[in-house]
Amino acid sequence: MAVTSDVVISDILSGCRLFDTLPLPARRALAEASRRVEFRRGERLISMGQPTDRLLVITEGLAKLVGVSPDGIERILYLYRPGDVAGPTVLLINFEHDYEIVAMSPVRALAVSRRELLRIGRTQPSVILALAREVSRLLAAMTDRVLQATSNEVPVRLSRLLLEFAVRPREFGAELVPLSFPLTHEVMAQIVGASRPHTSTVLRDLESVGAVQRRSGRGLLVRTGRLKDVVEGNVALRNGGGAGASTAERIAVPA
Amino acid sequence: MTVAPELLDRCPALRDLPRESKSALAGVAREVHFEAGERLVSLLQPPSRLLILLEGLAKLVGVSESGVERILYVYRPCEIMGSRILLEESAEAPYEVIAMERIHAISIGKLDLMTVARDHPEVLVTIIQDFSLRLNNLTSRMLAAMAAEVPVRLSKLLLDFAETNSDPSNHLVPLSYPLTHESMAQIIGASRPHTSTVLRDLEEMGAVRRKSDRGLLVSPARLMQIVSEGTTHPGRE
Repeated sequence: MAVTSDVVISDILSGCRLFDTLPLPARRALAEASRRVEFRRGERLISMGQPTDRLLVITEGLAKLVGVSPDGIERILYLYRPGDVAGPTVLLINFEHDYEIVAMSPVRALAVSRRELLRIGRTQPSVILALAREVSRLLAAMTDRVLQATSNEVPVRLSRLLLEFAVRPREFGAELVPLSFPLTHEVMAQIVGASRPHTSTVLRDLESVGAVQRRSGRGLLVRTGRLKDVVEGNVALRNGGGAGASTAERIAVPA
Repeated sequence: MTVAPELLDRCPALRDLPRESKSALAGVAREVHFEAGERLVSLLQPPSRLLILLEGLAKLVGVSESGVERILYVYRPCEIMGSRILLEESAEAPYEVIAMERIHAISIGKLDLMTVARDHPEVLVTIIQDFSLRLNNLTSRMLAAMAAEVPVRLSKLLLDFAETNSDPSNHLVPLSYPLTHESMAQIIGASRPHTSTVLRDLEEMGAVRRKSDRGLLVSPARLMQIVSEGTTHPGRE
Protein backbone atom coordinates (compact mmCIF):
# COMPACT_ATOMS: atom_id res chain seq x y z
CA MET A 1 0.00 0.00 0.00
CA ALA A 2 1.39 3.43 -0.94
CA VAL A 3 2.02 5.82 1.92
CA THR A 4 0.33 9.08 1.07
CA SER A 5 -1.45 10.54 4.05
CA ASP A 6 -0.04 13.69 5.61
CA VAL A 7 0.18 11.94 8.96
CA VAL A 8 2.38 9.21 7.51
CA ILE A 9 4.48 11.71 5.58
CA SER A 10 5.01 13.52 8.84
CA ASP A 11 6.00 10.19 10.43
CA ILE A 12 8.53 9.62 7.69
CA LEU A 13 10.06 13.01 8.27
CA SER A 14 10.54 12.65 11.96
CA GLY A 15 13.90 11.28 12.93
CA CYS A 16 14.92 9.87 9.56
CA ARG A 17 18.18 11.23 8.23
CA LEU A 18 17.41 10.15 4.69
CA PHE A 19 14.32 12.32 4.50
CA ASP A 20 14.65 15.17 6.94
CA THR A 21 16.69 17.51 4.73
CA LEU A 22 14.64 16.94 1.59
CA PRO A 23 12.37 19.61 0.14
CA LEU A 24 8.67 18.87 0.52
CA PRO A 25 8.02 17.83 -3.12
CA ALA A 26 10.79 15.23 -2.87
CA ARG A 27 9.47 13.92 0.44
CA ARG A 28 5.97 13.72 -0.95
CA ALA A 29 7.17 11.85 -4.06
CA LEU A 30 9.09 9.38 -1.90
CA ALA A 31 6.14 8.91 0.43
CA GLU A 32 3.90 8.14 -2.52
CA ALA A 33 6.36 5.53 -3.74
CA SER A 34 6.82 3.95 -0.29
CA ARG A 35 5.18 0.80 0.94
CA ARG A 36 4.72 -0.13 4.57
CA VAL A 37 6.35 -3.42 5.46
CA GLU A 38 6.52 -5.32 8.74
CA PHE A 39 8.82 -8.08 9.94
CA ARG A 40 8.45 -10.42 12.86
CA ARG A 41 11.33 -10.97 15.26
CA GLY A 42 13.88 -13.27 13.59
CA GLU A 43 12.57 -12.58 10.09
CA ARG A 44 15.03 -11.54 7.41
CA LEU A 45 14.81 -7.99 6.02
CA ILE A 46 17.54 -8.84 3.51
CA SER A 47 18.63 -12.42 2.87
CA MET A 48 22.16 -13.67 2.44
CA GLY A 49 23.24 -14.36 -1.14
CA GLN A 50 20.28 -12.56 -2.66
CA PRO A 51 20.28 -9.22 -4.45
CA THR A 52 18.05 -6.57 -2.97
CA ASP A 53 16.02 -4.22 -5.10
CA ARG A 54 14.57 -2.03 -2.38
CA LEU A 55 15.64 0.35 0.32
CA LEU A 56 14.13 -0.08 3.78
CA VAL A 57 13.72 2.92 6.06
CA ILE A 58 13.27 1.55 9.56
CA THR A 59 10.57 3.35 11.52
CA GLU A 60 10.25 1.01 14.53
CA GLY A 61 12.30 -1.78 16.09
CA LEU A 62 15.87 -3.05 15.90
CA ALA A 63 17.56 -5.13 13.21
CA LYS A 64 21.04 -6.60 12.99
CA LEU A 65 23.46 -6.92 10.09
CA VAL A 66 24.87 -10.40 10.58
CA GLY A 67 27.90 -12.01 9.00
CA VAL A 68 29.01 -15.61 9.38
CA SER A 69 32.70 -16.48 9.05
CA PRO A 70 33.77 -19.61 7.10
CA ASP A 71 34.18 -21.49 10.38
CA GLY A 72 30.65 -20.60 11.45
CA ILE A 73 31.29 -17.74 13.88
CA GLU A 74 28.37 -15.31 13.74
CA ARG A 75 29.04 -11.64 14.33
CA ILE A 76 26.76 -8.62 14.47
CA LEU A 77 28.42 -6.05 12.24
CA TYR A 78 25.91 -3.24 12.62
CA LEU A 79 22.68 -2.52 14.48
CA TYR A 80 19.93 -0.70 12.64
CA ARG A 81 17.74 1.59 14.71
CA PRO A 82 14.66 3.67 13.82
CA GLY A 83 15.70 6.29 11.28
CA ASP A 84 18.39 4.04 9.79
CA VAL A 85 18.32 2.89 6.20
CA ALA A 86 18.87 -0.80 5.46
CA GLY A 87 19.94 -1.91 1.99
CA PRO A 88 22.24 0.93 0.91
CA THR A 89 23.58 -1.31 -1.86
CA VAL A 90 20.17 -1.08 -3.55
CA LEU A 91 21.70 0.69 -6.55
CA LEU A 92 24.05 -2.22 -7.28
CA ILE A 93 22.19 -4.41 -9.73
CA ASN A 94 22.24 -8.18 -9.07
CA PHE A 95 24.66 -7.68 -6.20
CA GLU A 96 24.61 -10.71 -3.92
CA HIS A 97 25.12 -10.00 -0.24
CA ASP A 98 27.42 -12.02 1.96
CA TYR A 99 25.40 -10.80 4.93
CA GLU A 100 21.85 -10.75 6.11
CA ILE A 101 19.75 -8.27 8.02
CA VAL A 102 17.54 -9.89 10.64
CA ALA A 103 14.84 -8.32 12.83
CA MET A 104 15.77 -8.40 16.52
CA SER A 105 12.29 -7.24 17.52
CA PRO A 106 9.13 -6.59 15.51
CA VAL A 107 10.28 -4.15 12.84
CA ARG A 108 8.25 -1.67 10.86
CA ALA A 109 9.79 -0.06 7.81
CA LEU A 110 9.03 1.81 4.65
CA ALA A 111 10.21 0.16 1.45
CA VAL A 112 11.17 2.08 -1.69
CA SER A 113 12.13 0.09 -4.77
CA ARG A 114 15.25 0.82 -6.82
CA ARG A 115 13.10 1.60 -9.84
CA GLU A 116 11.08 4.18 -7.89
CA LEU A 117 14.20 5.72 -6.36
CA LEU A 118 15.77 6.22 -9.76
CA ARG A 119 12.50 7.50 -11.26
CA ILE A 120 12.03 10.07 -8.50
CA GLY A 121 15.73 10.95 -8.57
CA ARG A 122 15.46 12.09 -12.19
CA THR A 123 13.15 14.97 -11.21
CA GLN A 124 14.16 15.27 -7.55
CA PRO A 125 17.97 14.89 -7.50
CA SER A 126 17.99 15.77 -3.80
CA VAL A 127 16.71 12.22 -3.18
CA ILE A 128 19.81 10.69 -4.78
CA LEU A 129 22.01 13.14 -2.89
CA ALA A 130 20.35 12.12 0.38
CA LEU A 131 21.03 8.46 -0.39
CA ALA A 132 24.66 9.30 -1.26
CA ARG A 133 24.98 11.01 2.13
CA GLU A 134 23.50 8.01 3.92
CA VAL A 135 25.92 5.63 2.18
CA SER A 136 28.81 7.97 3.08
CA ARG A 137 27.68 8.02 6.70
CA LEU A 138 27.52 4.22 6.80
CA LEU A 139 30.94 4.07 5.14
CA ALA A 140 32.39 6.38 7.80
CA ALA A 141 30.77 4.31 10.59
CA MET A 142 32.08 1.02 9.19
CA THR A 143 35.57 2.50 8.68
CA ASP A 144 35.53 3.52 12.32
CA ARG A 145 34.42 0.05 13.42
CA VAL A 146 37.16 -1.65 11.37
CA LEU A 147 39.73 0.60 13.04
CA GLN A 148 38.37 -0.30 16.46
CA ALA A 149 38.23 -4.02 15.68
CA THR A 150 41.81 -4.13 14.46
CA SER A 151 43.45 -1.88 17.02
CA ASN A 152 41.53 -1.81 20.33
CA GLU A 153 41.01 -4.36 23.06
CA VAL A 154 37.63 -5.64 24.23
CA PRO A 155 37.04 -3.16 27.14
CA VAL A 156 37.57 -0.21 24.80
CA ARG A 157 35.35 -1.71 22.11
CA LEU A 158 32.63 -2.45 24.64
CA SER A 159 32.90 1.05 26.15
CA ARG A 160 32.54 2.60 22.70
CA LEU A 161 29.48 0.45 22.02
CA LEU A 162 27.86 1.50 25.30
CA LEU A 163 28.66 5.15 24.56
CA GLU A 164 27.04 4.77 21.14
CA PHE A 165 23.86 3.38 22.69
CA ALA A 166 23.72 5.58 25.80
CA VAL A 167 20.96 8.12 26.19
CA ARG A 168 22.62 11.52 25.64
CA PRO A 169 25.94 9.91 24.59
CA ARG A 170 27.81 13.14 23.93
CA GLU A 171 27.31 14.80 27.28
CA PHE A 172 30.04 12.70 28.92
CA GLY A 173 28.56 13.31 32.36
CA ALA A 174 28.91 11.70 35.78
CA GLU A 175 25.21 10.80 35.92
CA LEU A 176 24.12 7.20 35.33
CA VAL A 177 21.90 6.99 32.24
CA PRO A 178 20.15 4.03 30.57
CA LEU A 179 20.77 2.73 27.06
CA SER A 180 18.46 3.97 24.34
CA PHE A 181 17.85 0.33 23.34
CA PRO A 182 18.35 -2.71 25.58
CA LEU A 183 21.31 -4.90 24.59
CA THR A 184 21.80 -8.40 25.98
CA HIS A 185 25.30 -9.60 26.93
CA GLU A 186 25.08 -12.01 23.99
CA VAL A 187 24.34 -9.20 21.53
CA MET A 188 27.11 -7.02 22.97
CA ALA A 189 29.52 -9.95 22.65
CA GLN A 190 28.62 -10.52 19.00
CA ILE A 191 29.07 -6.83 18.22
CA VAL A 192 32.44 -6.34 19.92
CA GLY A 193 33.82 -9.68 18.72
CA ALA A 194 34.30 -11.35 22.08
CA SER A 195 32.86 -14.37 23.88
CA ARG A 196 29.71 -13.89 25.98
CA PRO A 197 31.43 -14.84 29.27
CA HIS A 198 34.32 -12.47 28.62
CA THR A 199 31.90 -9.67 27.78
CA SER A 200 30.17 -10.22 31.14
CA THR A 201 33.56 -10.16 32.89
CA VAL A 202 34.48 -6.89 31.21
CA LEU A 203 31.09 -5.42 32.18
CA ARG A 204 31.86 -6.35 35.79
CA ASP A 205 35.25 -4.64 35.48
CA LEU A 206 33.58 -1.56 34.01
CA GLU A 207 31.24 -1.56 37.00
CA SER A 208 34.20 -1.72 39.39
CA VAL A 209 35.58 1.53 37.93
CA GLY A 210 32.17 3.21 38.02
CA ALA A 211 31.53 3.20 34.29
CA VAL A 212 28.37 1.07 34.41
CA GLN A 213 25.78 -0.22 36.89
CA ARG A 214 24.61 -3.65 35.87
CA ARG A 215 21.43 -4.03 37.92
CA SER A 216 18.79 -1.35 38.16
CA GLY A 217 15.10 -0.92 37.55
CA ARG A 218 16.00 0.61 34.18
CA GLY A 219 18.34 -2.18 33.02
CA LEU A 220 22.02 -1.50 32.43
CA LEU A 221 23.03 2.06 33.34
CA VAL A 222 26.16 3.75 32.06
CA ARG A 223 28.22 6.76 33.09
CA THR A 224 29.30 8.30 29.80
CA GLY A 225 32.10 10.43 31.25
CA ARG A 226 33.70 7.36 32.81
CA LEU A 227 33.27 5.29 29.63
CA LYS A 228 35.05 8.04 27.74
CA ASP A 229 37.93 7.75 30.23
CA VAL A 230 38.17 4.02 29.45
CA VAL A 231 38.12 4.67 25.69
CA GLU A 232 40.89 7.25 26.06
CA GLY A 233 43.02 4.91 28.17
CA ASN A 234 42.74 6.97 31.36
CA VAL A 235 41.40 4.01 33.35
CA ALA A 236 43.11 0.65 33.75
CA LEU A 237 40.90 -2.44 33.91
CA ARG A 238 41.73 -5.85 35.30
CA ASN A 239 40.82 -7.74 32.09
CA GLY A 240 42.50 -5.79 29.36
CA GLY A 241 41.70 -8.38 26.71
CA GLY A 242 45.27 -9.64 26.75
CA ALA A 243 46.48 -12.69 28.62
CA GLY A 244 43.15 -13.28 30.32
CA ALA A 245 41.19 -13.18 27.10
CA SER A 246 39.74 -16.27 25.47
CA THR A 247 40.67 -17.44 21.98
CA ALA A 248 37.82 -15.42 20.51
CA GLU A 249 39.13 -12.24 22.12
CA ARG A 250 42.67 -12.89 21.01
CA ILE A 251 41.46 -13.37 17.47
CA ALA A 252 39.70 -10.03 17.54
CA VAL A 253 42.72 -8.22 18.94
CA PRO A 254 45.75 -7.72 16.68
CA ALA A 255 48.69 -10.03 17.22
CA MET B 1 41.74 23.39 -15.99
CA THR B 2 39.14 20.92 -17.22
CA VAL B 3 39.90 17.41 -18.44
CA ALA B 4 39.01 15.66 -21.69
CA PRO B 5 35.88 13.50 -21.28
CA GLU B 6 37.91 10.62 -22.77
CA LEU B 7 40.02 10.61 -19.61
CA LEU B 8 36.94 9.50 -17.67
CA ASP B 9 36.54 6.56 -20.07
CA ARG B 10 39.49 4.90 -18.39
CA CYS B 11 37.11 3.86 -15.62
CA PRO B 12 34.31 1.48 -16.65
CA ALA B 13 31.73 3.01 -14.30
CA LEU B 14 32.34 6.53 -15.64
CA ARG B 15 32.52 5.28 -19.22
CA ASP B 16 28.91 4.13 -18.94
CA LEU B 17 27.64 7.59 -17.98
CA PRO B 18 25.51 9.44 -20.57
CA ARG B 19 27.64 11.69 -22.79
CA GLU B 20 26.16 14.91 -21.36
CA SER B 21 26.85 13.83 -17.78
CA LYS B 22 30.40 12.87 -18.65
CA SER B 23 31.01 16.23 -20.34
CA ALA B 24 29.57 18.12 -17.36
CA LEU B 25 31.80 16.18 -14.96
CA ALA B 26 34.87 16.63 -17.14
CA GLY B 27 34.09 20.35 -17.32
CA VAL B 28 34.62 20.82 -13.57
CA ALA B 29 37.41 18.27 -13.09
CA ARG B 30 41.15 18.76 -13.16
CA GLU B 31 44.09 16.40 -13.21
CA VAL B 32 46.24 16.12 -10.11
CA HIS B 33 49.41 14.18 -9.28
CA PHE B 34 50.84 13.07 -5.95
CA GLU B 35 54.22 11.58 -5.13
CA ALA B 36 54.60 8.46 -2.95
CA GLY B 37 54.09 9.39 0.68
CA GLU B 38 52.17 12.58 -0.09
CA ARG B 39 48.80 13.12 1.63
CA LEU B 40 45.71 13.17 -0.57
CA VAL B 41 43.46 13.77 2.44
CA SER B 42 45.03 15.09 5.64
CA LEU B 43 44.42 13.82 9.16
CA LEU B 44 41.57 15.54 11.03
CA GLN B 45 40.69 17.73 8.04
CA PRO B 46 37.43 17.06 6.21
CA PRO B 47 38.10 16.55 2.50
CA SER B 48 37.05 19.39 0.22
CA ARG B 49 37.12 17.45 -3.02
CA LEU B 50 36.40 14.09 -4.53
CA LEU B 51 39.36 12.28 -6.09
CA ILE B 52 38.97 9.63 -8.78
CA LEU B 53 42.11 7.51 -8.88
CA LEU B 54 43.44 6.86 -12.40
CA GLU B 55 46.88 5.41 -11.66
CA GLY B 56 48.67 4.26 -8.52
CA LEU B 57 47.64 3.07 -5.07
CA ALA B 58 46.62 5.06 -2.00
CA LYS B 59 46.00 3.91 1.55
CA LEU B 60 43.33 5.00 4.01
CA VAL B 61 45.13 5.10 7.34
CA GLY B 62 43.38 5.31 10.69
CA VAL B 63 44.86 6.08 14.09
CA SER B 64 43.05 4.73 17.17
CA GLU B 65 42.79 6.57 20.49
CA SER B 66 45.67 4.45 21.74
CA GLY B 67 47.85 5.58 18.83
CA VAL B 68 47.75 2.31 16.87
CA GLU B 69 47.98 2.97 13.12
CA ARG B 70 46.14 0.69 10.71
CA ILE B 71 45.64 0.62 6.95
CA LEU B 72 41.88 0.33 6.69
CA TYR B 73 41.57 0.30 2.94
CA VAL B 74 43.75 0.40 -0.17
CA TYR B 75 42.33 2.46 -3.03
CA ARG B 76 43.02 1.13 -6.51
CA PRO B 77 42.61 2.76 -9.94
CA CYS B 78 39.06 3.89 -10.74
CA GLU B 79 38.03 4.07 -7.11
CA ILE B 80 36.62 7.29 -5.70
CA MET B 81 38.06 8.90 -2.57
CA GLY B 82 36.68 11.61 -0.28
CA SER B 83 33.23 10.22 0.59
CA ARG B 84 33.09 12.50 3.62
CA ILE B 85 32.57 15.58 1.44
CA LEU B 86 28.98 14.42 1.09
CA LEU B 87 28.34 14.51 4.82
CA GLU B 88 26.65 17.71 5.92
CA GLU B 89 28.57 17.91 9.15
CA SER B 90 31.95 16.40 8.39
CA ALA B 91 33.51 16.25 11.81
CA GLU B 92 37.22 15.76 12.34
CA ALA B 93 38.10 12.14 11.71
CA PRO B 94 41.28 10.27 12.63
CA TYR B 95 41.94 9.21 9.06
CA GLU B 96 44.22 10.25 6.24
CA VAL B 97 44.74 9.06 2.69
CA ILE B 98 48.38 8.70 1.62
CA ALA B 99 49.84 7.87 -1.79
CA MET B 100 51.61 4.49 -1.69
CA GLU B 101 53.21 5.24 -5.05
CA ARG B 102 52.99 8.01 -7.66
CA ILE B 103 49.33 8.89 -8.16
CA HIS B 104 47.48 10.30 -11.14
CA ALA B 105 43.92 11.33 -10.27
CA ILE B 106 41.00 13.53 -11.22
CA SER B 107 39.89 16.11 -8.67
CA ILE B 108 36.37 17.53 -8.40
CA GLY B 109 35.56 20.21 -5.83
CA LYS B 110 32.56 19.80 -3.54
CA LEU B 111 30.57 22.75 -4.90
CA ASP B 112 31.25 21.76 -8.50
CA LEU B 113 30.15 18.20 -7.77
CA MET B 114 26.89 19.41 -6.23
CA THR B 115 26.22 21.65 -9.24
CA VAL B 116 26.79 18.79 -11.69
CA ALA B 117 24.76 16.37 -9.55
CA ARG B 118 21.76 18.69 -9.57
CA ASP B 119 21.50 18.47 -13.36
CA HIS B 120 22.94 14.98 -13.77
CA PRO B 121 21.88 12.81 -10.82
CA GLU B 122 23.24 9.72 -12.60
CA VAL B 123 26.72 10.99 -11.67
CA LEU B 124 25.75 10.59 -8.02
CA VAL B 125 24.28 7.16 -8.74
CA THR B 126 27.70 6.08 -10.08
CA ILE B 127 29.39 7.50 -6.99
CA ILE B 128 26.92 5.74 -4.68
CA GLN B 129 27.61 2.44 -6.45
CA ASP B 130 31.35 2.87 -5.89
CA PHE B 131 30.84 3.74 -2.22
CA SER B 132 28.42 0.80 -1.79
CA LEU B 133 31.04 -1.63 -3.08
CA ARG B 134 33.56 -0.20 -0.63
CA LEU B 135 31.02 -0.44 2.18
CA ASN B 136 30.60 -4.12 1.33
CA ASN B 137 34.38 -4.60 1.26
CA LEU B 138 34.77 -2.91 4.66
CA THR B 139 31.94 -5.04 6.08
CA SER B 140 33.87 -8.14 4.95
CA ARG B 141 37.00 -6.79 6.62
CA MET B 142 35.04 -6.14 9.76
CA LEU B 143 33.83 -9.73 9.85
CA ALA B 144 37.32 -11.05 9.13
CA ALA B 145 38.86 -8.85 11.83
CA MET B 146 36.35 -10.10 14.39
CA ALA B 147 35.99 -13.74 13.50
CA ALA B 148 38.95 -15.03 11.49
CA GLU B 149 42.52 -15.86 12.44
CA VAL B 150 45.49 -14.03 10.95
CA PRO B 151 46.29 -16.68 8.25
CA VAL B 152 42.71 -16.48 6.99
CA ARG B 153 42.72 -12.66 7.05
CA LEU B 154 46.00 -12.64 5.14
CA SER B 155 44.72 -15.22 2.62
CA LYS B 156 41.62 -13.08 2.00
CA LEU B 157 43.80 -10.02 1.44
CA LEU B 158 46.07 -11.87 -1.01
CA LEU B 159 43.03 -13.21 -2.88
CA ASP B 160 41.66 -9.68 -3.09
CA PHE B 161 44.90 -8.48 -4.67
CA ALA B 162 45.64 -11.55 -6.85
CA GLU B 163 46.10 -10.69 -10.54
CA THR B 164 42.82 -11.80 -12.07
CA ASN B 165 43.88 -11.29 -15.68
CA SER B 166 46.61 -13.90 -15.49
CA ASP B 167 46.35 -17.14 -17.40
CA PRO B 168 43.93 -19.18 -15.27
CA SER B 169 45.90 -22.35 -16.01
CA ASN B 170 48.81 -20.84 -14.09
CA HIS B 171 48.97 -22.22 -10.60
CA LEU B 172 50.76 -19.18 -9.21
CA VAL B 173 49.88 -15.61 -10.18
CA PRO B 174 51.40 -12.28 -9.11
CA LEU B 175 49.58 -9.59 -7.15
CA SER B 176 48.00 -6.85 -9.21
CA TYR B 177 49.75 -4.33 -6.97
CA PRO B 178 52.81 -4.93 -4.82
CA LEU B 179 52.21 -4.98 -1.06
CA THR B 180 55.03 -4.92 1.47
CA HIS B 181 54.91 -7.13 4.57
CA GLU B 182 54.46 -3.94 6.59
CA SER B 183 51.42 -2.90 4.52
CA MET B 184 49.89 -6.37 4.74
CA ALA B 185 50.38 -6.34 8.52
CA GLN B 186 48.72 -2.96 8.91
CA ILE B 187 45.78 -4.02 6.75
CA ILE B 188 45.00 -7.30 8.52
CA GLY B 189 45.69 -5.96 12.01
CA ALA B 190 48.72 -8.08 12.89
CA SER B 191 52.36 -7.36 13.69
CA ARG B 192 54.88 -7.25 10.83
CA PRO B 193 56.98 -10.20 12.15
CA HIS B 194 53.85 -12.32 12.65
CA THR B 195 52.70 -11.51 9.12
CA SER B 196 56.04 -12.66 7.72
CA THR B 197 55.78 -15.88 9.74
CA VAL B 198 52.29 -16.53 8.41
CA LEU B 199 53.49 -15.88 4.84
CA ARG B 200 56.17 -18.52 5.39
CA ASP B 201 53.51 -20.92 6.66
CA LEU B 202 51.36 -20.19 3.62
CA GLU B 203 54.37 -20.94 1.39
CA GLU B 204 54.82 -24.32 3.09
CA MET B 205 51.18 -25.03 2.31
CA GLY B 206 51.66 -24.16 -1.36
CA ALA B 207 49.49 -21.03 -1.19
CA VAL B 208 52.24 -18.49 -1.97
CA ARG B 209 55.80 -18.30 -3.28
CA ARG B 210 57.67 -15.49 -1.58
CA LYS B 211 60.63 -15.03 -3.90
CA SER B 212 60.32 -14.76 -7.68
CA ASP B 213 61.28 -12.31 -10.41
CA ARG B 214 57.61 -11.15 -10.36
CA GLY B 215 57.56 -10.55 -6.61
CA LEU B 216 55.19 -12.47 -4.35
CA LEU B 217 53.20 -15.13 -6.21
CA VAL B 218 49.95 -16.57 -4.91
CA SER B 219 47.83 -19.61 -5.67
CA PRO B 220 44.21 -18.36 -5.77
CA ALA B 221 42.82 -21.90 -5.59
CA ARG B 222 44.85 -22.78 -2.50
CA LEU B 223 44.10 -19.44 -0.82
CA MET B 224 40.41 -19.93 -1.55
CA GLN B 225 40.58 -23.33 0.11
CA ILE B 226 42.18 -21.83 3.24
CA VAL B 227 39.57 -19.08 3.40
CA SER B 228 36.65 -21.45 2.92
CA GLU B 229 37.96 -23.85 5.56
CA GLY B 230 38.50 -20.91 7.90
CA THR B 231 41.77 -22.28 9.24
CA THR B 232 45.29 -23.33 8.34
CA HIS B 233 45.33 -25.93 11.08
CA PRO B 234 47.30 -28.94 9.83
CA GLY B 235 44.44 -31.25 10.83
CA ARG B 236 42.20 -29.51 8.33
CA GLU B 237 44.66 -29.71 5.44
